Parts: sequence; structure tokens; C-alpha cells
Amino acid sequence: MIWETVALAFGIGTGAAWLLGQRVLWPLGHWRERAVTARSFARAIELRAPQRQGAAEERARLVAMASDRAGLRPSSAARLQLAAILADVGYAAVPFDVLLGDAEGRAETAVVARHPEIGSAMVQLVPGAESVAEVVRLNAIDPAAAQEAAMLAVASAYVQGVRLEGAEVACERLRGGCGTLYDEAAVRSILAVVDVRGRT
Amino acid sequence: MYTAPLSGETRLFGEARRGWSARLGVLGVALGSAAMAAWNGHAGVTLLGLAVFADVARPHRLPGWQARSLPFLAAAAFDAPLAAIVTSAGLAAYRGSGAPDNRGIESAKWGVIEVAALVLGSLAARTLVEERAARAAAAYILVASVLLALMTLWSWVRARTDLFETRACVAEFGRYLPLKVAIAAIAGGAATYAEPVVLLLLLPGALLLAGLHDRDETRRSERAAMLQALGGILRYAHPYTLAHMRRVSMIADRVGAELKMGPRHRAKLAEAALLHDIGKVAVDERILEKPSRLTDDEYIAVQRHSEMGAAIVAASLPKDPIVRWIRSHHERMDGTGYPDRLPSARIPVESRVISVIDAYDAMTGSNDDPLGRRYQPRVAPSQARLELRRHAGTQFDPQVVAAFERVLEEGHA
Repeated sequence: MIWETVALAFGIGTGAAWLLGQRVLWPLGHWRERAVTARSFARAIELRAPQRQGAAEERARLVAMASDRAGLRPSSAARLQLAAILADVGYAAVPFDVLLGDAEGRAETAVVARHPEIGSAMVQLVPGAESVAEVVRLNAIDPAAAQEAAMLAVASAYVQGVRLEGAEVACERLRGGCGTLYDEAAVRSILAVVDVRGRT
Repeated sequence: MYTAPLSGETRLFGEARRGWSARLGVLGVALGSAAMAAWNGHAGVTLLGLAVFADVARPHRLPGWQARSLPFLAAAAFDAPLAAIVTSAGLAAYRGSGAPDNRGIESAKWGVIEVAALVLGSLAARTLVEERAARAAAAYILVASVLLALMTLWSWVRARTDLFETRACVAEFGRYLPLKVAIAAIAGGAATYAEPVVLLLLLPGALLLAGLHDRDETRRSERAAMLQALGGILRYAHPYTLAHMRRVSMIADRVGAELKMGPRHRAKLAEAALLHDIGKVAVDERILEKPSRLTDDEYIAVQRHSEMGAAIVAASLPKDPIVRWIRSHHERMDGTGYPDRLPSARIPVESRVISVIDAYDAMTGSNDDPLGRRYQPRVAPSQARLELRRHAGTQFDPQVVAAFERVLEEGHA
């Protein structure tokens, strides 16, 4: 009787472990691994455009905390984090002279403006990141179209704002654009995890 | 390079691909049969249904994991041995006709092993069950089978986690695997017959192991695809460099075969070759495309591409050996290479392979650069081979040059 009980417990336990793994743990683990593999893409862009150094990591960290705050589902949060890492990959298509600021004509500005679409096309090729490509594209073109894109757009604006004008001004700009330029819920989530000194 | 099976990629008994419809049909029959048999208390047929379900539910490529259905088949053999043998032969035929690559023959071999295991198992159990010592023997066999399973699992873990310099670990996983699985199946089946509740130990364990294997296969295939996509970054920045890397990668696989590297080692080598110039994404294309000789500063900027390429790959694969192979692909046998001026003994053989093919492709050029931006004229393949031989021993590894020349002669490059 004891052995039957032990075997039954082992069988149920192992079966439950398999089910939990298949449905919950392993998919989340896959997302985390994709975020790790995506770091190579971010590193390539940082080496090509040193002014983007560290931006991907900052965005990823910010959206991870803000997602938690906003109560996003774990899979959405993981997808958003991946999008934050890959958002700049389109800069690979921007010529070096434009990246260095040696060329600032209208044509060159147009090339830079196209980087989200090009980035989206590149992200389509990253395995497991196909659903992220749309977030990358929308975050620059139409953030209101998706909650994740809205969150990423606000995080990108904040990170860029801190680099150019400091944390205080960046926060002010987000508040000023809340509900108009930026999604209100996304702004609230981001501002809840930063303070005016730029600390998170 | 192994890839995870794609959803819907299956064939049924030699017919053209049917995708999910064929598989769902088989699954439905298997589950329905199992449910009806369980309702009627017929353990043997229940188990057969579950065996078919376990085998067909997820497509597979590596022969070792066809053992997923073995515990069910082995246990069913003692209640309905003839049915179990027929089912096993049917599954083997299914695999043999359904394997989309050359593993059809491997699958058929595995089917023969399964049938043999089932026949032996049912004969052994039917003999043992009449003896008073049957239960004791079954317990002993159970312990043996658990040990065998653990040994196989340990070999698999070591093979998966060890570096590719230690080929023994990769080979160990497959050594005597058919015998291990056959013995485990017989033992597991005998133990289940003696103590049916043992099935509760076998079934979930088999499911868990199968799930772990599938997860690892998915990881491996995503990794391979990620590396391909990483190279694709250069499509926009330096398209002819991307084409060059792809050519070098294809040839590297053949040179690896000439150097007697195992399949996974060659796959890794091909990955490293595919990304050996990824660091050029950080080099100003105006320098790369300059038609005249480079200045010293420009040359230094280009030289940095090997360490930057290593840094890019290391960002996601810090412990992978391909990082070092990419970094060292411009080292020279005489120790005057870059970036680290390594002595020849410390230059990985994989870097030496990439170095030879890289130089040959650079000399012979290609038609992928439509503007023909080069400051040195293209040379004929025969002249390029002479150059490789001339610099063998100083810049290039002589053995690698010889292997590469054999590949050229066979027409693989």
C-alpha cells in the first residue's frame, strides 16, 4: 500500500510538473531567453551608433518595472521587454555619415525617420520575435494602436529625454504630453517607477 | 544543424505532407481507442492507444526519443503481445515514411529494435510470472532500468553542456543507446507486469523527459535561426559582406568534414563562419567601400571588426566557443596576426579554417558587389590557391590549406 501511494504521488507530481512546464514555465523561459539572445542585436547597434549606448538596456529595465506596475500579463511584459531591446535595430540601415551627423539634409532625416519600419522588418527575422515586430513599428508610428507600443513609446521618450535634457525635463515633457502625445496609462506607469532625479 | 520540427510537418504512410489534418486524425483514433479500452478495463489496448498518442503527438527527429512510446508498448506487451508488436511495427513504418530528411532509415532501424525488445520482454515476463521469485526479480530489474535511464540522462546532460572540444561527451550520449533503451524497456515492462502501479512511475517520467527534450530542440533551433538573423543585420549596412559570410559558412562546413569534425562541431563552425565579419556593422561603410588603399587609421578601424564581432556575439552567448573563434579569425600562424597576436598553438583550429576560406573568397572576389569596389584586382582561383600554399605555415595552417584544397577539388566550393 505504501509503495502504491508513493508511486501515485510521484506520478501525479511528475505529471503536474510536466503540465506546469509545458503551459507556464517553459514559454516564459523562452521569452526570457529570447531577450538574452536579442542583446546581440542591441550590442551591434551600440557599436555602430555609440550615441545609442545603453539605451536598449535602460528601456528594457524601465518597461519591465512599468509592466509590473501596469499589471500586464507575464507574456505581454516579456514581449514588451524584447521589443524594448530590439527597438533600435533599424539603425543598422542608417548610413554612417548620417549617424555621425555629417549629413543633415532632408533626405538624411527621412532615412533616420524610417528606421522603425526597417527595424520591424529585421525583427520579423528574429526567431520567436515575430509578434514583437509590430510593437517595434507601432511605437514610433502609431503608439495608440497597442498597449505595448504605447508603453514602449513612453519609455523611449523618457530615456531619450534624460540623455538630452535631464530627468526633470524628461518627466515634465511626459506629463505635458499625457493623454495627447502619450498614452495616459503608460505615462502614469512610467512616472510611477522613476523620480525626477532619473532614478528607478 | 538540427532544427526543431515545424508544426504540421509530417507525412502519413508515404503520402504527401498533410499537416495537422493527418496527425489529428491519428491522434483522435489513438485517444478514442484508449478511452474506450480503459472504460472496458482492457489495460493492454489502453496502453497501446497511449503509445500511439505519445509517439505521434509531437514530431521528432532524433532516434533516441522515439523511446517515448516504449514504456507504453512494453507494458502493453504483457497483456496483448501480438497487438503490441503490430502497433510497434506500424509506428516504425509511420516514422520511416514520415521522416522528412534522411532519418527514414534510422527510424526503421529503431522500429526493429523496439519490436525485438517487445518480443524479448513478453517472453521473459511470461516465464518469470510463474515463479515465486517473480516479484523479487521484477524489483531487481526495475532498479537496473532506473539506473540505465539515469546513465542515459547523465550522458545527455553532459553532451548538452560540454564544450565541443570534448567530443567524447557528445559521442557518449549515443553510445550503446539502443541497447540501453531496449534493456530499460524490457525491465520497465516486466516491472509493470509484476507491479502495475510502476506504470505511474514510467508514464509521467517519460512525458517529462520528452517535454525537456522538445524544449531543448526548440532552444537549439531558435538559437541557430537567431544567429542567421543577426548576420542579416548586414543586409542593409554591407550587403556584399553578408553574401561573403554566407559563402564562407557553406565552405567551412565542408572543410570541417575534411578535418573529420563531428556534425555538431561542424554546425558550430558554420555558425562562427556565418558571423565572422558581423563586426563590420560597426565600421564606417565609406572605409569599407574605399577603392584606394586605406590610411593607417582606417586600417586600424577595419582591424577592430574581429573583436567587435566577438563582442556582439558575446552579448547573448558569452560562454559559447564561437566568440573566441570569431575574435581570432585574423590571427596568423607566425604570431603577427590581430587582435591578440596569438602564437599558433593558441589559435583555435576553427579560426584557422575561417581564415583560409576568408582569404580565398577575398582574393577571388564575387559578383555580389555590383560596383566592384576593391583596390586590389580579383585573382583567378588557381592563383588564389597558389597564394594560400605560399603563405601556409606563416599566415595559414598547412593542414587546413590542404583540407581546403581537397574541398575545392571535389567541387564543393
